[in-house]
Amino acid sequence: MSATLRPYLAAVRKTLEAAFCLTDFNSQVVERHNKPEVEVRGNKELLLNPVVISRNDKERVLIESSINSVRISIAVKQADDIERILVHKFTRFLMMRADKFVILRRKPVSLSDTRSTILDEKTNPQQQPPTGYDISFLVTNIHTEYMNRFKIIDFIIHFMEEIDKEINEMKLAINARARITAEEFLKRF
Amino acid sequence: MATNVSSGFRKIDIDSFNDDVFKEDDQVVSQSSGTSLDDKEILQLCSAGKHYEAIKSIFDLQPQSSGDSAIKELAFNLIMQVFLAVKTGDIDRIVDKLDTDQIDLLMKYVYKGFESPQEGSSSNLLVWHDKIFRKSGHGAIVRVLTDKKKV
Amino acid sequence: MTQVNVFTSEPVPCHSFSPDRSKVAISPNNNEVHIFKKDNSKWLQETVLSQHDLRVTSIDWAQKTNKIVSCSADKNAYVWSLDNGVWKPTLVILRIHRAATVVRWSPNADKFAVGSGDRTISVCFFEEANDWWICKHIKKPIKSTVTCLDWHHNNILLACGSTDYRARIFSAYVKEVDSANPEPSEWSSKPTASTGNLIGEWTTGGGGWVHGVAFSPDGSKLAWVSHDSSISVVDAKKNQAFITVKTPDLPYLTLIWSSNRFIIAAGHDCCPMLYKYDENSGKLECLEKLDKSTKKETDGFSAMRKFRELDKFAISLNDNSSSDSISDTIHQNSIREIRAHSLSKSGGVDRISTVGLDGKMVFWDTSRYV
Repeated sequence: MSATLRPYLAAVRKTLEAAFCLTDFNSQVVERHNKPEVEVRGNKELLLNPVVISRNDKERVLIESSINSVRISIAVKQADDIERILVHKFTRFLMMRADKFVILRRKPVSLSDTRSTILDEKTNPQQQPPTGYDISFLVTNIHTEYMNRFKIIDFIIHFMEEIDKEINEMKLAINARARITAEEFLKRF
Repeated sequence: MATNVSSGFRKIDIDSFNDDVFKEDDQVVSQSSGTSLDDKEILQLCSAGKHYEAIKSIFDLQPQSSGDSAIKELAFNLIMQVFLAVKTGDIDRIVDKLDTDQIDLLMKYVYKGFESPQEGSSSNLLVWHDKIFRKSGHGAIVRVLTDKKKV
Repeated sequence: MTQVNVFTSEPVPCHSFSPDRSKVAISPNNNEVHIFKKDNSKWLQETVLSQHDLRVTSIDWAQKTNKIVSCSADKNAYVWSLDNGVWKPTLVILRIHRAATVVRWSPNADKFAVGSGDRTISVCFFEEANDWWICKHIKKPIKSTVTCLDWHHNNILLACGSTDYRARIFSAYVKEVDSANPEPSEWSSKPTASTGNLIGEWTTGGGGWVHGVAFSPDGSKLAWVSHDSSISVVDAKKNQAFITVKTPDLPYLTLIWSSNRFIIAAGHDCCPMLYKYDENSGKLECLEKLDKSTKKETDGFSAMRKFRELDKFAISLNDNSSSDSISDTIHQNSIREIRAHSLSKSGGVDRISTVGLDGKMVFWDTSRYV
């Protein structure tokens, strides 16, 4: 299982390097405005094809790029209820502080945003509907101008590596604490 | 009394009727190929170990320019089977024989394969992605992102 | 061979040289135009021109009249004239409703063209009667923002690239400025004496925004680079046949012909690349990288170097993968614009300058590729 981690992160890194070719672009819809076109989605010619890189059916990365911005959405592995709760709380903690994070989006990209773009149910009726994404990054040309874009990519890859480890550590800690609590409680009987 | 006046007109996007607006339909010209895809023949080539020939004959039919989604789906399923059939050591040999356009098309299929992961397919696709990248560089990935002709 | 100048830590999206090459006008990614003067081997800031409200998107310095034109996201362009050592701005009425993206003087510097997000090119000329700059619009059939412009040496044909994936050539004839019967060019047998006439339109088919266009010095070829990592050349002498080369690099943003055979293109890969176009066979091929600097070899386990890298590049002590993050090229971020610096006697370009988002301006010697 972990044999796919390195190739998965390498594939995500190369795709991000290709998607991060951003240039400044002033809005052609509203005068004097400069908006991330991947969020506006008004002009189809300014958007690139969204791509997905999947490690298995649970872990995926969706990369949507445009002329001046990129949106990267990550679906984290959640095997059981405890992990689901942990991932939800962890990502919520980060997303509430999104402005300090600079490149984080306050809400993960929802399926209705992506449904019209890639996953057409008609071609794969027997597939289970995809489960949505847990956390999303929004990187604009301002970020790639002021920060080294390779370092931003490094950060995102590092984040993807670490989040799995963090969730596992937290799960072990929960189980350990639950066991101690249960032992103490049941000593009475 | 204006009871049955529909308000559908309020939801029309007026700007899209403007002449100046970029219309994507003008761009993608779909050509239907003359010959149809013979899946039995492709599977035969595949089981005979002639993977390169199988890929080549699917690509010769230009599935990305076809307007027919059935052909596209058939081509996609066949390519997925070829991907799974090729041994890891042989991938380099096959990729070396392909030219730039075919490499770009193969990379598009890799990304399309990622969208619908099945048992063990993703790890196989990751290996193909790595091998194709070594030959084509970032250019193939950029062209997957920009090309409006979808597979 | 290459000379590196660091202006600011701000990205520099555009620049232009004075006719005698002793000064350069750049914009440090804000609403100002800074003029730097060359002092031996250093560049010192001489003046700041601030009239625009929003980011300055493009600057051009006319070679014949020593006037500077700057355009910005605030839908305006100003023509700056030197008057007793002070630069005085004159507003240009562009009549556009979106940001201006690129501006270029024509070869005779009697008119200039401004591309904008309004899907329009404004060709502006000076009207003596009212003492102002007014413009004519070229609209059809541009369907999206105009990103780049280049004039033909005959002062009439104008090439433009836009985000609707097409490179086009228009006639930018202005009857107030140009002669009554312009000579027909190799691009069109019809006379080109009407503003906005579309001479030709090409697309690579790959769906990439056109980032840069350039006419060859003899005007018979047009090259463009687009976002699908390709470089294309259309040749008027070959009945407008065009060839596209799909490159393995990241997309190019800008290009220049150093002669009638060689093209230098640069972009997100941070390294200028040399291409050769063979007129006889119509083939376009990549020859080499111009930036031959290699990654600095690690000279032993130096604690000093590790702490320096930790400080400068935020690379942690045990990180192996991030050694790829520092580019081994001179430019550390995308190259945004290439300009010709010195011309050789034969009309080719001896020296080019590149500016990038890392705030550097680098001179490259291209006398070998003429």
